[in-house]
Amino acid sequence: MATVVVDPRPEQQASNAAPQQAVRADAFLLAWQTIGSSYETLTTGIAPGNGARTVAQVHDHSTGGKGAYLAQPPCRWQGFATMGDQGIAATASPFALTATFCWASMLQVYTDHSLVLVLYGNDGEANGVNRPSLDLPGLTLEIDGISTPFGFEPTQDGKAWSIVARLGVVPAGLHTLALKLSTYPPNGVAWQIYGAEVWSEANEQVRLDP
Amino acid sequence: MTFSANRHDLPSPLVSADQPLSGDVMGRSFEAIEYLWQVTTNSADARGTALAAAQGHTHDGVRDQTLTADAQVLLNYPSGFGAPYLRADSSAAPDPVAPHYAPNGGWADGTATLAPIRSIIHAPFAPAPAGIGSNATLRSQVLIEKGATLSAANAVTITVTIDGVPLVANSAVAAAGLETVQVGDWAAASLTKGGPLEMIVQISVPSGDYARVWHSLVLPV
Repeated sequence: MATVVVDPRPEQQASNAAPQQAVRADAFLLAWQTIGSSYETLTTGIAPGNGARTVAQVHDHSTGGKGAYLAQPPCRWQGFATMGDQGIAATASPFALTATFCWASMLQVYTDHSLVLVLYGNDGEANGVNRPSLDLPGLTLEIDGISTPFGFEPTQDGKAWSIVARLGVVPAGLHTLALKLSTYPPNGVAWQIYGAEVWSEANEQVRLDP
Repeated sequence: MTFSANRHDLPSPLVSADQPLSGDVMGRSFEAIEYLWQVTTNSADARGTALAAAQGHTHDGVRDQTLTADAQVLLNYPSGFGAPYLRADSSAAPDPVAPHYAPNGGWADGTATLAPIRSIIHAPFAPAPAGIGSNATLRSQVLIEKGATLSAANAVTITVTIDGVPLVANSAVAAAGLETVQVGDWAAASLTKGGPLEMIVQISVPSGDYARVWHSLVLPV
């Protein structure tokens, strides 16, 4: 390992590190180079106590799929859930239930995390309300059965819609999400849900208008 | 994280600084440095357990101890999902004959076992010192909706088959509505390998009960 001995202190002074400020990647690079330096200083060839170390084969990170794989989001739903059908609006819940789950999914959170849900779909082709709307009084987004605020984001495709909801800080564990319709309008509803994902609200993975 | 008896102190330039770091930067930096040190010296596995025998760092994709490669094992991120095709609203009688495209499909009604989800999941690799390429302990969660109060709390039977190994679990609540059913665990190294594996989710209920599957996920334990 060829390393460069770099003193990281000038870049890590407190005056440059305000609270909540992200740690810069080059600060870690400096730390890594410093560790690499000590590694070579303290040992000959291999790390202490590491006589069984196997040497990496020649490899290319740019080809093949055996290298690092990225972590999944805490929720990904890619089914197909329709309200109504082509030419037929939905007007009643199944089995005379008091509400219809238009969509439902699970969310697995590993630690308290500020999260954003994106739920997207297309307009239906039947009569009635052909996309989810805040004007539908019976439409609620629920997390663990508790209604939570949600809104809509504009899309490039006029036939598509997307619901975005800040879920806030979600505690670790398994949670359920659901889009629920408890009251049907007289002429029914018709839309399709194609997918949903939840991502961290931090690190600018999802940017929302204020 | 644990510390190896063989581990040396961090080099002096990082220990003392002209000015103190903020707690936020210091804490996260130290954690990352500690991890990097363990990877460098291979003195601990991905879970921070000190290793009896040092392991190599081979970049072979299964023990490639980078933060992204091992994120699922480290953080219990889900590593696979499955979702069905459902006509959410249909009030017609359940139709188990053509569950994937019939407008009233998707509901199990006692006449047949349905398989609403087939998916590919990524079984995380077990951390050292387990065998290279073996799967870590894996758990599945299945979200079901009950269309009416069940005849018994455990009436819904969910079978999840990963890599040909089926495990079964039952519902726990009779009331109508959503419920998550935990299936598993598949023990570490109980499957043929870690990595991409087929998952099939099946549901069956006694005659007179109605339930359907909305979602499934798997995660390391």
